[in-house]
Amino acid sequence: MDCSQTQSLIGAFLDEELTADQGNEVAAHLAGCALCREVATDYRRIGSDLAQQGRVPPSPAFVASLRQELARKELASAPASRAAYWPKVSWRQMAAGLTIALLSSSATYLSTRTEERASAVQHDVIAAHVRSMLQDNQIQVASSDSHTVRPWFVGKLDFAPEIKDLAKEGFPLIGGRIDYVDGHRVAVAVYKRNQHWVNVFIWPAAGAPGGLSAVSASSGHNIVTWSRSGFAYWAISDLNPEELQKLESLI
Amino acid sequence: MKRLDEFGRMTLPHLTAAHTLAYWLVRNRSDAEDIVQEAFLRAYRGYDGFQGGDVRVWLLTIVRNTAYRWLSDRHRRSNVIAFDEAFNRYGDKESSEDEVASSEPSPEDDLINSDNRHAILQALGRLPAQLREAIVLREIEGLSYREIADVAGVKIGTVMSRLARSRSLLRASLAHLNNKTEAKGGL
Repeated sequence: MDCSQTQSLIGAFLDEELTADQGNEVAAHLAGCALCREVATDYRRIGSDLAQQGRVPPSPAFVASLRQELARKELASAPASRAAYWPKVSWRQMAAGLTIALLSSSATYLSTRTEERASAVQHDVIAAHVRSMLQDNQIQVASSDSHTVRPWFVGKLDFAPEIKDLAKEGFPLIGGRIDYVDGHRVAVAVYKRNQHWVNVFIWPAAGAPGGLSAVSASSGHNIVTWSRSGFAYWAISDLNPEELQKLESLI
Repeated sequence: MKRLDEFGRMTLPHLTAAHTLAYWLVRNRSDAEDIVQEAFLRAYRGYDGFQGGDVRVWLLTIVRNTAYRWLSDRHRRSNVIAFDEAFNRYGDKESSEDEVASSEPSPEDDLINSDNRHAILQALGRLPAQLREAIVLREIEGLSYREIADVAGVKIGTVMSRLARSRSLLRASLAHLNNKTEAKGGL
Protein backbone atom coordinates (compact mmCIF):
# COMPACT_ATOMS: atom_id res chain seq x y z
CA MET A 1 0.00 0.00 0.00
CA ASP A 2 1.55 3.30 -1.04
CA CYS A 3 1.26 6.70 0.67
CA SER A 4 -1.58 7.98 -1.48
CA GLN A 5 -3.70 4.85 -0.93
CA THR A 6 -2.92 4.92 2.77
CA GLN A 7 -3.80 8.58 3.17
CA SER A 8 -7.19 8.07 1.56
CA LEU A 9 -7.90 5.40 4.21
CA ILE A 10 -6.40 7.05 7.31
CA GLY A 11 -9.66 8.78 8.21
CA ALA A 12 -11.67 5.58 8.02
CA PHE A 13 -8.86 3.86 9.93
CA LEU A 14 -9.17 6.41 12.77
CA ASP A 15 -12.96 6.05 12.65
CA GLU A 16 -12.55 2.25 12.98
CA GLU A 17 -14.64 1.76 9.87
CA LEU A 18 -12.15 -0.35 7.89
CA THR A 19 -12.20 -4.12 7.57
CA ALA A 20 -9.64 -5.92 9.72
CA ASP A 21 -7.43 -6.60 6.68
CA GLN A 22 -7.48 -2.99 5.46
CA GLY A 23 -6.88 -1.78 9.00
CA ASN A 24 -3.81 -4.00 9.34
CA GLU A 25 -2.41 -2.77 6.06
CA VAL A 26 -2.85 0.88 7.03
CA ALA A 27 -1.34 0.22 10.46
CA ALA A 28 1.64 -1.51 8.87
CA HIS A 29 2.24 1.38 6.50
CA LEU A 30 1.89 3.96 9.28
CA ALA A 31 4.44 2.10 11.41
CA GLY A 32 7.06 2.64 8.72
CA CYS A 33 6.10 6.07 7.30
CA ALA A 34 6.58 9.30 9.24
CA LEU A 35 4.86 11.36 6.52
CA CYS A 36 1.61 9.39 6.76
CA ARG A 37 1.82 9.40 10.55
CA GLU A 38 1.88 13.18 10.38
CA VAL A 39 -1.29 13.11 8.27
CA ALA A 40 -2.92 10.85 10.85
CA THR A 41 -1.93 13.25 13.65
CA ASP A 42 -3.37 16.19 11.71
CA TYR A 43 -6.64 14.33 11.05
CA ARG A 44 -6.94 13.47 14.71
CA ARG A 45 -6.41 17.11 15.69
CA ILE A 46 -8.89 18.32 13.07
CA GLY A 47 -11.42 15.89 14.53
CA SER A 48 -10.95 17.00 18.11
CA ASP A 49 -10.94 20.71 17.17
CA LEU A 50 -14.20 20.28 15.29
CA ALA A 51 -15.75 18.38 18.17
CA GLN A 52 -14.73 21.11 20.60
CA GLN A 53 -15.51 24.20 18.54
CA GLY A 54 -18.03 23.16 15.93
CA ARG A 55 -21.10 22.60 18.06
CA VAL A 56 -23.64 25.43 17.70
CA PRO A 57 -26.23 25.29 20.51
CA PRO A 58 -29.52 27.09 19.93
CA SER A 59 -30.14 30.28 21.92
CA PRO A 60 -32.52 30.09 24.91
CA ALA A 61 -34.76 32.57 23.11
CA PHE A 62 -35.05 30.20 20.18
CA VAL A 63 -35.68 27.20 22.40
CA ALA A 64 -38.41 29.07 24.22
CA SER A 65 -39.95 30.05 20.91
CA LEU A 66 -39.78 26.48 19.57
CA ARG A 67 -41.34 25.19 22.75
CA GLN A 68 -44.15 27.64 22.31
CA GLU A 69 -44.70 26.84 18.64
CA LEU A 70 -45.00 23.14 19.48
CA ALA A 71 -47.44 23.83 22.30
CA ARG A 72 -49.45 26.00 19.95
CA LYS A 73 -49.61 23.20 17.38
CA GLU A 74 -50.83 20.85 20.08
CA LEU A 75 -53.43 23.36 21.18
CA ALA A 76 -54.63 23.87 17.61
CA SER A 77 -55.00 20.14 17.01
CA ALA A 78 -56.60 19.33 20.38
CA PRO A 79 -60.22 18.22 20.20
CA ALA A 80 -62.77 20.59 21.73
CA SER A 81 -63.36 18.41 24.78
CA ARG A 82 -59.67 18.46 25.55
CA ALA A 83 -59.48 22.19 25.13
CA ALA A 84 -61.90 22.48 28.03
CA TYR A 85 -59.17 21.11 30.26
CA TRP A 86 -57.21 24.27 29.81
CA PRO A 87 -58.02 26.47 32.78
CA LYS A 88 -58.10 29.59 30.71
CA VAL A 89 -59.27 32.09 33.24
CA SER A 90 -56.96 31.21 36.06
CA TRP A 91 -54.23 30.85 33.48
CA ARG A 92 -54.76 34.31 32.28
CA GLN A 93 -54.19 35.49 35.79
CA MET A 94 -51.25 33.24 36.41
CA ALA A 95 -49.52 33.32 33.12
CA ALA A 96 -46.35 35.24 32.92
CA GLY A 97 -43.79 35.59 30.21
CA LEU A 98 -44.00 33.22 27.34
CA THR A 99 -47.25 31.48 28.11
CA ILE A 100 -49.33 34.59 27.86
CA ALA A 101 -48.87 34.60 24.10
CA LEU A 102 -50.47 31.16 23.93
CA LEU A 103 -53.75 32.68 24.98
CA SER A 104 -53.79 35.35 22.36
CA SER A 105 -56.83 35.10 20.20
CA SER A 106 -54.93 35.91 17.05
CA ALA A 107 -52.81 33.13 15.64
CA THR A 108 -51.14 35.32 13.06
CA TYR A 109 -50.16 37.82 15.67
CA LEU A 110 -48.72 34.92 17.59
CA SER A 111 -46.44 33.42 15.01
CA THR A 112 -44.81 36.69 14.13
CA ARG A 113 -44.44 37.69 17.75
CA THR A 114 -43.15 34.43 19.13
CA GLU A 115 -39.48 34.99 18.61
CA GLU A 116 -39.60 38.65 19.52
CA ARG A 117 -41.27 37.78 22.76
CA ALA A 118 -38.74 35.09 23.58
CA SER A 119 -35.87 37.49 23.11
CA ALA A 120 -37.72 40.08 25.17
CA VAL A 121 -37.81 37.51 27.97
CA GLN A 122 -34.10 36.85 27.61
CA HIS A 123 -33.43 40.57 27.65
CA ASP A 124 -35.53 41.06 30.78
CA VAL A 125 -33.94 38.14 32.57
CA ILE A 126 -30.44 39.46 31.92
CA ALA A 127 -31.44 42.99 32.91
CA ALA A 128 -33.07 41.80 36.13
CA HIS A 129 -30.04 39.68 36.97
CA VAL A 130 -27.61 42.54 36.39
CA ARG A 131 -29.80 44.92 38.41
CA SER A 132 -29.87 42.50 41.33
CA MET A 133 -26.07 42.27 41.25
CA LEU A 134 -25.60 46.05 41.10
CA GLN A 135 -28.03 46.96 43.83
CA ASP A 136 -27.09 44.36 46.41
CA ASN A 137 -30.73 43.36 46.69
CA GLN A 138 -30.53 39.84 45.44
CA ILE A 139 -33.09 38.73 47.96
CA GLN A 140 -36.22 40.03 49.62
CA VAL A 141 -36.74 37.03 51.84
CA ALA A 142 -33.52 35.64 53.27
CA SER A 143 -33.77 32.02 54.10
CA SER A 144 -32.06 28.78 53.43
CA ASP A 145 -35.27 27.04 54.40
CA SER A 146 -37.36 26.19 51.38
CA HIS A 147 -40.42 26.01 53.65
CA THR A 148 -40.05 29.71 54.33
CA VAL A 149 -39.37 30.85 50.78
CA ARG A 150 -42.27 29.08 49.12
CA PRO A 151 -45.04 30.42 51.41
CA TRP A 152 -43.53 33.88 51.02
CA PHE A 153 -44.12 33.61 47.28
CA VAL A 154 -47.69 32.46 47.89
CA GLY A 155 -48.44 35.76 49.54
CA LYS A 156 -46.98 37.77 46.66
CA LEU A 157 -47.79 35.80 43.51
CA ASP A 158 -50.70 33.70 42.34
CA PHE A 159 -48.47 30.70 41.82
CA ALA A 160 -46.07 28.91 44.15
CA PRO A 161 -43.20 27.02 42.61
CA GLU A 162 -41.45 24.37 44.64
CA ILE A 163 -38.16 25.74 45.96
CA LYS A 164 -35.47 23.37 47.16
CA ASP A 165 -32.48 24.08 49.32
CA LEU A 166 -29.52 22.43 47.65
CA ALA A 167 -26.82 23.19 50.23
CA LYS A 168 -25.89 19.52 50.46
CA GLU A 169 -25.30 19.49 46.70
CA GLY A 170 -23.19 22.64 46.87
CA PHE A 171 -25.87 25.16 45.88
CA PRO A 172 -27.12 26.72 49.16
CA LEU A 173 -30.44 28.53 48.85
CA ILE A 174 -29.96 32.15 49.90
CA GLY A 175 -33.53 33.35 49.55
CA GLY A 176 -36.13 34.60 47.14
CA ARG A 177 -37.49 37.73 45.58
CA ILE A 178 -40.11 38.89 43.14
CA ASP A 179 -38.94 40.31 39.85
CA TYR A 180 -40.53 41.56 36.69
CA VAL A 181 -40.08 39.79 33.33
CA ASP A 182 -41.93 40.55 30.12
CA GLY A 183 -44.65 42.46 31.90
CA HIS A 184 -45.29 39.90 34.63
CA ARG A 185 -44.27 39.30 38.19
CA VAL A 186 -42.13 36.19 38.47
CA ALA A 187 -40.52 34.24 41.31
CA VAL A 188 -36.76 34.30 41.69
CA ALA A 189 -34.94 31.70 43.76
CA VAL A 190 -31.43 32.85 44.63
CA TYR A 191 -28.67 30.30 45.07
CA LYS A 192 -24.96 30.56 45.63
CA ARG A 193 -22.22 28.37 44.27
CA ASN A 194 -18.96 29.22 46.03
CA GLN A 195 -18.68 32.97 45.36
CA HIS A 196 -21.11 33.02 42.44
CA TRP A 197 -24.71 34.12 42.61
CA VAL A 198 -27.31 32.25 40.61
CA ASN A 199 -30.74 33.73 39.93
CA VAL A 200 -33.39 31.22 38.94
CA PHE A 201 -36.45 32.90 37.41
CA ILE A 202 -39.61 30.84 37.59
CA TRP A 203 -43.08 31.33 36.19
CA PRO A 204 -46.01 29.15 35.15
CA ALA A 205 -45.74 27.77 31.65
CA ALA A 206 -48.47 25.19 31.38
CA GLY A 207 -48.51 23.55 28.00
CA ALA A 208 -44.77 23.65 27.41
CA PRO A 209 -43.29 20.23 26.79
CA GLY A 210 -41.00 18.99 29.55
CA GLY A 211 -37.36 18.21 29.11
CA LEU A 212 -36.50 21.25 27.02
CA SER A 213 -33.20 22.70 27.96
CA ALA A 214 -30.84 25.15 26.35
CA VAL A 215 -27.62 26.85 27.25
CA SER A 216 -26.37 30.13 26.00
CA ALA A 217 -23.95 32.87 26.84
CA SER A 218 -24.84 36.51 26.58
CA SER A 219 -22.76 39.51 27.65
CA GLY A 220 -20.73 37.51 30.13
CA HIS A 221 -23.65 35.62 31.60
CA ASN A 222 -24.52 32.02 31.10
CA ILE A 223 -28.16 31.09 30.90
CA VAL A 224 -29.77 27.69 31.16
CA THR A 225 -33.46 27.46 30.45
CA TRP A 226 -35.82 24.55 30.78
CA SER A 227 -39.40 23.72 31.65
CA ARG A 228 -40.73 21.19 34.08
CA SER A 229 -44.02 20.40 35.81
CA GLY A 230 -45.79 23.36 34.26
CA PHE A 231 -43.13 25.94 35.10
CA ALA A 232 -40.55 27.70 32.96
CA TYR A 233 -37.11 28.08 34.54
CA TRP A 234 -34.36 30.50 33.51
CA ALA A 235 -31.15 30.15 35.51
CA ILE A 236 -28.59 32.90 34.97
CA SER A 237 -25.16 33.39 36.48
CA ASP A 238 -21.50 33.97 35.74
CA LEU A 239 -21.01 30.32 36.65
CA ASN A 240 -19.86 28.04 33.87
CA PRO A 241 -22.59 26.29 31.84
CA GLU A 242 -21.70 22.84 33.21
CA GLU A 243 -22.38 23.92 36.80
CA LEU A 244 -25.58 25.66 35.78
CA GLN A 245 -26.74 22.47 34.10
CA LYS A 246 -25.91 20.62 37.27
CA LEU A 247 -28.21 23.00 39.12
CA GLU A 248 -30.89 22.32 36.51
CA SER A 249 -30.66 18.60 37.18
CA LEU A 250 -30.97 19.22 40.94
CA ILE A 251 -33.94 21.56 40.76
CA MET B 1 -50.37 17.13 26.13
CA LYS B 2 -49.19 13.54 26.51
CA ARG B 3 -48.19 13.20 22.89
CA LEU B 4 -46.30 16.48 22.95
CA ASP B 5 -44.56 15.56 26.20
CA GLU B 6 -43.43 12.28 24.74
CA PHE B 7 -42.32 13.92 21.52
CA GLY B 8 -40.34 16.46 23.56
CA ARG B 9 -38.68 13.76 25.65
CA MET B 10 -37.66 11.87 22.52
CA THR B 11 -36.46 14.71 20.32
CA LEU B 12 -35.34 17.62 22.48
CA PRO B 13 -32.17 15.92 23.73
CA HIS B 14 -31.09 16.15 20.07
CA LEU B 15 -31.94 19.81 19.63
CA THR B 16 -28.31 20.95 19.75
CA ALA B 17 -27.34 18.28 17.21
CA ALA B 18 -30.20 19.42 14.95
CA HIS B 19 -29.26 23.07 15.30
CA THR B 20 -25.57 22.35 14.68
CA LEU B 21 -26.31 20.43 11.48
CA ALA B 22 -28.70 23.12 10.21
CA TYR B 23 -26.20 25.83 11.04
CA TRP B 24 -23.39 24.14 9.13
CA LEU B 25 -25.61 23.51 6.14
CA VAL B 26 -26.80 27.11 5.76
CA ARG B 27 -24.00 28.83 7.70
CA ASN B 28 -25.93 31.47 9.54
CA ARG B 29 -27.90 31.38 12.75
CA SER B 30 -31.20 32.92 11.83
CA ASP B 31 -31.75 30.62 8.84
CA ALA B 32 -30.64 27.66 10.95
CA GLU B 33 -33.30 28.51 13.52
CA ASP B 34 -36.00 28.72 10.86
CA ILE B 35 -34.96 25.35 9.51
CA VAL B 36 -34.83 23.67 12.91
CA GLN B 37 -38.24 25.02 13.80
CA GLU B 38 -39.74 23.84 10.52
CA ALA B 39 -38.04 20.46 10.92
CA PHE B 40 -39.37 20.00 14.46
CA LEU B 41 -42.91 20.90 13.42
CA ARG B 42 -42.59 18.48 10.51
CA ALA B 43 -41.23 15.78 12.82
CA TYR B 44 -44.07 16.39 15.27
CA ARG B 45 -46.66 16.06 12.51
CA GLY B 46 -45.04 12.84 11.31
CA TYR B 47 -44.36 11.52 14.78
CA ASP B 48 -47.18 8.95 14.74
CA GLY B 49 -45.58 7.43 11.68
CA PHE B 50 -42.21 7.09 13.37
CA GLN B 51 -41.60 3.35 13.45
CA GLY B 52 -39.05 3.29 16.21
CA GLY B 53 -35.34 3.06 15.55
CA ASP B 54 -32.85 5.80 16.14
CA VAL B 55 -34.63 9.08 16.94
CA ARG B 56 -31.49 11.10 16.33
CA VAL B 57 -30.96 9.73 12.83
CA TRP B 58 -34.66 10.23 12.04
CA LEU B 59 -34.61 13.82 13.29
CA LEU B 60 -31.30 14.74 11.60
CA THR B 61 -32.63 13.35 8.32
CA ILE B 62 -35.63 15.67 8.55
CA VAL B 63 -33.39 18.62 9.43
CA ARG B 64 -31.07 17.81 6.54
CA ASN B 65 -33.89 17.53 4.01
CA THR B 66 -35.51 20.71 5.29
CA ALA B 67 -32.18 22.54 4.94
CA TYR B 68 -31.61 21.32 1.39
CA ARG B 69 -35.12 22.30 0.35
CA TRP B 70 -34.50 25.68 1.91
CA LEU B 71 -31.15 26.08 0.10
CA SER B 72 -32.69 25.19 -3.22
CA ASP B 73 -35.57 27.67 -2.66
CA ARG B 74 -33.12 30.37 -1.78
CA HIS B 75 -31.19 29.79 -4.99
CA ARG B 76 -34.31 29.89 -7.09
CA ARG B 77 -35.27 33.16 -5.44
CA SER B 78 -31.87 34.75 -5.85
CA ASN B 79 -31.55 33.67 -9.46
CA VAL B 80 -28.27 31.89 -8.91
CA ILE B 81 -27.81 28.38 -10.35
CA ALA B 82 -30.31 26.29 -8.44
CA PHE B 83 -28.70 24.07 -5.87
CA ASP B 84 -30.77 21.00 -6.72
CA GLU B 85 -30.11 21.54 -10.38
CA ALA B 86 -26.41 21.48 -9.68
CA PHE B 87 -26.94 18.27 -7.74
CA ASN B 88 -28.83 16.57 -10.52
CA ARG B 89 -26.29 17.60 -13.06
CA TYR B 90 -23.31 16.32 -11.15
CA GLY B 91 -25.05 13.53 -9.32
CA ASP B 92 -22.69 11.59 -7.16
CA LYS B 93 -19.53 12.31 -9.06
CA GLU B 94 -17.32 13.15 -6.11
CA SER B 95 -14.83 15.08 -8.19
CA SER B 96 -17.45 17.69 -9.04
CA GLU B 97 -18.40 18.61 -5.51
CA ASP B 98 -16.27 21.72 -5.54
CA GLU B 99 -18.33 23.06 -8.40
CA VAL B 100 -21.53 22.44 -6.48
CA ALA B 101 -20.13 24.46 -3.62
CA SER B 102 -19.08 27.31 -5.84
CA SER B 103 -22.71 28.06 -6.67
CA GLU B 104 -23.42 28.73 -3.00
CA PRO B 105 -23.07 32.25 -1.67
CA SER B 106 -20.17 32.72 0.72
CA PRO B 107 -20.83 32.40 4.45
CA GLU B 108 -21.96 35.54 6.24
CA ASP B 109 -21.80 34.42 9.81
CA ASP B 110 -19.42 35.80 12.40
CA LEU B 111 -18.60 32.31 13.63
CA ILE B 112 -17.03 31.49 10.27
CA ASN B 113 -15.61 34.90 9.44
CA SER B 114 -13.75 35.24 12.69
CA ASP B 115 -10.02 35.36 13.33
CA ASN B 116 -7.53 32.52 13.30
CA ARG B 117 -8.62 31.15 16.64
CA HIS B 118 -11.39 29.44 14.74
CA ALA B 119 -9.39 28.59 11.64
CA ILE B 120 -10.91 25.12 11.66
CA LEU B 121 -14.42 26.58 11.53
CA GLN B 122 -13.50 28.86 8.64
CA ALA B 123 -12.09 25.90 6.77
CA LEU B 124 -15.21 23.87 7.52
CA GLY B 125 -17.44 26.69 6.32
CA ARG B 126 -15.69 26.69 2.97
CA LEU B 127 -16.12 22.98 2.27
CA PRO B 128 -18.67 21.97 -0.36
CA ALA B 129 -22.04 21.25 1.26
CA GLN B 130 -22.00 17.46 0.85
CA LEU B 131 -18.54 17.20 2.37
CA ARG B 132 -19.42 19.65 5.16
CA GLU B 133 -22.48 17.61 6.03
CA ALA B 134 -20.52 14.36 6.20
CA ILE B 135 -17.70 15.71 8.37
CA VAL B 136 -20.11 17.53 10.74
CA LEU B 137 -22.12 14.36 11.29
CA ARG B 138 -18.93 12.37 11.83
CA GLU B 139 -16.69 14.64 13.92
CA ILE B 140 -19.18 16.85 15.77
CA GLU B 141 -22.11 14.47 16.15
CA GLY B 142 -20.10 11.23 16.26
CA LEU B 143 -22.36 9.31 13.87
CA SER B 144 -21.19 6.03 12.35
CA TYR B 145 -20.75 5.73 8.58
CA ARG B 146 -23.98 3.70 8.44
CA GLU B 147 -25.89 6.46 10.24
CA ILE B 148 -24.39 9.19 8.06
CA ALA B 149 -25.38 7.18 4.98
CA ASP B 150 -28.96 7.00 6.30
CA VAL B 151 -29.16 10.73 7.02
CA ALA B 152 -27.65 11.77 3.67
CA GLY B 153 -29.41 9.05 1.65
CA VAL B 154 -26.22 7.71 0.06
CA LYS B 155 -24.16 4.52 0.16
CA ILE B 156 -21.58 3.86 2.85
CA GLY B 157 -18.82 3.91 0.23
CA THR B 158 -19.89 7.43 -0.72
CA VAL B 159 -19.74 8.49 2.93
CA MET B 160 -16.24 7.09 3.17
CA SER B 161 -14.95 8.93 0.11
CA ARG B 162 -16.68 12.18 1.13
CA LEU B 163 -15.06 12.03 4.55
CA ALA B 164 -11.64 11.27 3.06
CA ARG B 165 -11.99 14.25 0.74
CA SER B 166 -13.26 16.50 3.57
CA ARG B 167 -10.28 15.72 5.75
CA SER B 168 -7.80 16.19 2.98
CA LEU B 169 -9.33 19.58 2.04
CA LEU B 170 -9.51 20.71 5.69
CA ARG B 171 -5.86 19.81 6.22
CA ALA B 172 -4.78 21.62 3.08
CA SER B 173 -6.87 24.65 3.99
CA LEU B 174 -5.39 24.85 7.50
CA ALA B 175 -1.85 24.49 6.15
CA HIS B 176 -2.59 27.31 3.72
CA LEU B 177 -3.91 29.55 6.52
CA ASN B 178 -0.87 28.85 8.68
CA ASN B 179 1.47 29.76 5.84
CA LYS B 180 -0.35 33.02 5.26
CA THR B 181 -0.15 33.84 8.97
CA GLU B 182 3.59 33.15 9.02
CA ALA B 183 4.16 35.21 5.89
CA LYS B 184 2.48 38.18 7.61
CA GLY B 185 4.76 37.68 10.59
CA GLY B 186 2.05 36.14 12.71
CA LEU B 187 -1.14 37.57 14.13
